[in-house]
Amino acid sequence: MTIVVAALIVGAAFGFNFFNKDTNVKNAVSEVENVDTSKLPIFPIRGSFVYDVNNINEAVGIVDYVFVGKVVRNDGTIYKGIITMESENGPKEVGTPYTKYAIQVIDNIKGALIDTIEVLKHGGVSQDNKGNKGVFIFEDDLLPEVDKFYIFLGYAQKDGSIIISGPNSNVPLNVSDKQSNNLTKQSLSSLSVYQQYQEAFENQIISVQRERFTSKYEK
Amino acid sequence: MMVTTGILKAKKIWLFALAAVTLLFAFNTTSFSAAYVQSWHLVDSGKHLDYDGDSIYMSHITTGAGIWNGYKSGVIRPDSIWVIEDVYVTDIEIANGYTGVTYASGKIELNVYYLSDHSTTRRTNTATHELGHALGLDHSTSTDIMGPIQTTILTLSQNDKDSYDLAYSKY
Repeated sequence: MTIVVAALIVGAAFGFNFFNKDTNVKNAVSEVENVDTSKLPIFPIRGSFVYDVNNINEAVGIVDYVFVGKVVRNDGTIYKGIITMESENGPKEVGTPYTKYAIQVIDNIKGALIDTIEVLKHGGVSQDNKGNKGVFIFEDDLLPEVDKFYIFLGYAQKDGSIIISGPNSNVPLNVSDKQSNNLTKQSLSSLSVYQQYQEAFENQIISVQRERFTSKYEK
Repeated sequence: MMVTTGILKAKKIWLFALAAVTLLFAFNTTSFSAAYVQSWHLVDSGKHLDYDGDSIYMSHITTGAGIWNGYKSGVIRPDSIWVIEDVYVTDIEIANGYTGVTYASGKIELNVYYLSDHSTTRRTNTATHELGHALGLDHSTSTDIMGPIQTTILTLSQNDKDSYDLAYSKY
């Protein structure tokens, strides 16, 4: 009798854990509204790169698009590749944050994109169903802000979308209010950062051979 | 007298050479290795990193765990029914410039988009590198497993070991 009871207890424990262990299933994308990230702690994303992130010629060479853009809108954070992990407080959902932006393309340095596009920026508010939120972002990177100008470095994806990802993947442009109303290729040429990326494109280094895709936003 | 002078000169040269070697050795050990630790890690309060995952590269994660455990035995363990997993390894297929990435939330992503064309050695380097981040190690130099760019290195350097020592002291 004792053996039977012990076997039942052990069996129940195994069964409970079996169901717990079987919860690491990737679900569909989920989404949250735009939130103020200025007071949230930052948790740097760490990775292993295929190019030298400190070499601007390689950074331009590996992406599909380099363009000057104005951030029109922040459409919040979406979470991809959601899994359910065990935690001391029960199961928790863990997804990878991407922040959605609408961008007005001012000038194309590499590639040719239409005037208004949507991009996904790798990083954003972390998904945490226990109320502990933070911002996930690569080292030497930042989340774009609405109404500001940046040089974006983007990758076309198989589904036609564009992802902005990695260190220095959106570089701020210091544009005065007066300039911002009428930015042209000529006026951009006076900005040293713009010149740097123009020169980097002319001397781009393609260090990785890979299958490249075409964005649905190409002209 | 000349013989004595010669012996003294030889002794001086030998002592000078010994001092130079000692200085060089001291310089090498104090200046050429360093510890690189990031602001977060995924190791639990019992000083273990219990991993689980559905990645097609789990065998490379196992090999990577062995490389770190070869320096500090038993820290990285496969998840079991008796413990709570600390890190989950899964795959993505995205053009984004990296082969693997680790998040403070406990997720490691291995990127099939690049890794599918890479050698076993390179895949293992990425798996080992990402486990290093989960252990709390930051990027270091190009001759280390924890260098920022994927390589074929599969042996822990002195930097990797020193970084691990410092990270371990913070668990």
